[in-house]
Amino acid sequence: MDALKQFRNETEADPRALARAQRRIDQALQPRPVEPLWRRLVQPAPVAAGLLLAGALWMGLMPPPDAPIPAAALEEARAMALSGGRVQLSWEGSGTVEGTDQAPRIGWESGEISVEVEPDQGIGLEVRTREAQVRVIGTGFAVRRDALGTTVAVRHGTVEVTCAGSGAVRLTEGQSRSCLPVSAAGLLARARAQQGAGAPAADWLGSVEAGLKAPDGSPGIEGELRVLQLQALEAVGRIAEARAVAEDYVRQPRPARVEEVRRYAAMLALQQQDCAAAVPHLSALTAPAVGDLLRLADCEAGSAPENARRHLEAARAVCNTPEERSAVDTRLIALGKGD
Amino acid sequence: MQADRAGTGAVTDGELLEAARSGEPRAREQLCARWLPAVLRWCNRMGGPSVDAEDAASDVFIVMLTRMDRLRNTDAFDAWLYGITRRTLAAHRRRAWVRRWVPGIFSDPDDPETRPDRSMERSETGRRVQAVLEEMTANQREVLILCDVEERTDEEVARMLEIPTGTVKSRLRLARASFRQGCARHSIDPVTPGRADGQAGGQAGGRADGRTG
Repeated sequence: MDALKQFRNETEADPRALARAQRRIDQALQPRPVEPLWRRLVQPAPVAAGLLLAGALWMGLMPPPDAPIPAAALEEARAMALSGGRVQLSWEGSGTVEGTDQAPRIGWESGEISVEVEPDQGIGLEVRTREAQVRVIGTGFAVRRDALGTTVAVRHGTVEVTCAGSGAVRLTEGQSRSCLPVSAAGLLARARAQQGAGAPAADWLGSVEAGLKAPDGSPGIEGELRVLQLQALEAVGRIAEARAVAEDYVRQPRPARVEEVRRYAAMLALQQQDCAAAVPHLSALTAPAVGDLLRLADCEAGSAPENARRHLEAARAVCNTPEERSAVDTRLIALGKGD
Repeated sequence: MQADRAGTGAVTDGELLEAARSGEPRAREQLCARWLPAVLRWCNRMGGPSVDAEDAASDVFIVMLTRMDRLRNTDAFDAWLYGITRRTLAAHRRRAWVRRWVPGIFSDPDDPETRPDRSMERSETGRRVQAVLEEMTANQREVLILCDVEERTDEEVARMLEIPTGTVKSRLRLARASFRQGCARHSIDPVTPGRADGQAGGQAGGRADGRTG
């Protein structure tokens, strides 16, 4: 039999192996409490460090003073940290580590990482997120990255923090600095997080406007940002500006979330008693709700009663509740009296 | 295309991925069910004797499920998953190397050292083929496995490895030559690689399906 065919057959995934692998995946994805770093390090550290040293001496393979660290997910850094032992990390989230023993570089993606660097050892550790770069020689600090951006807080010592697009700032004990996201998607997430946390509308309007200026935006993200922008502008009372934003946006070729923006534009126009401006938006909706059709009928009741009747009949066909039906019928009766 | 290879029907990997991203647990299960056999095969074939394939395959899925939000081009799901498999296998090989010199450095309750050696389930020929593959460079090994063991087209392999088709062809040519030499060293019946079903015997460096290596 062909050797490769035999190899292929023998390396097929058999059902028992698949079941075992599936079980491991399920177990690994079960949420579990985060074990403190000291416990994870303390157990294997003395044995592993001793064996590593003895093995290296025995083989004459003592690592050079600044050996490169193979790029790896941060999970593996626990083992790598043992060789130096002068950097202690604890974290809840995900990241990667690379660089060298003397200059480890941590790429932090999300969550919180706490770093302790033994002072006066010449270790130039760096933590980078998309928005921030933290350089340190001998200190303790924490970096948190979430939807709001990256926050660096110093427990002791000094760190230098560089937010994307701005200069380096030195932070000392007790100080902290936040770096905003730089991408359109990051700023959208920040604005939503601020809105969800009940921050003043002016604050999340700032994030939205920065997101709209970000160079890496996409039509989908712009649509989401525009809706938030309208909500924020309305919340701060800048109605005329909100209307202008909506009017400009719907004129773009194939804008995202255009239905929602049109509905918003109509609502803002009606707030200012401007039926003439609201009607084109309401009429352009591809899937008008009962409320939209009622507003449209109200606007056209005086000037075009036949249109208003048509809208009300369309609304009646999609009514879901007795209240909606009653609102439609009341208007139909009023229209009939007018005739 | 990617869904067809996995033999699944109408829902594409991209659609499943989107659903999984939005938190649909059944989509996640379906993605695992669809791709776990392929990933386990890759791990079996490319991991070598020092790597526990089931362990590596489950790590691949853990990475895939925790990082699925990062994949932008969902049409390239198979290439992305293969890339994760490749990196995971490299990490497992590194760990196996360290474990060899420093026992106990990785706290692993399922340490392969304490588990039955699954390579024992292979025939003598299978083990020798594995040994030949281990002697090859990683690039040549993966191209030989993807093209000649898994019988993927050059274009498909080029897409998975994100390299030009010409590079796949030249790597495959070198891989086959290296495999033939390895077979001679390990006293394996020198059947020319080309198709794993043996139809290519005697067609040096070519494939019976008409494709040239």
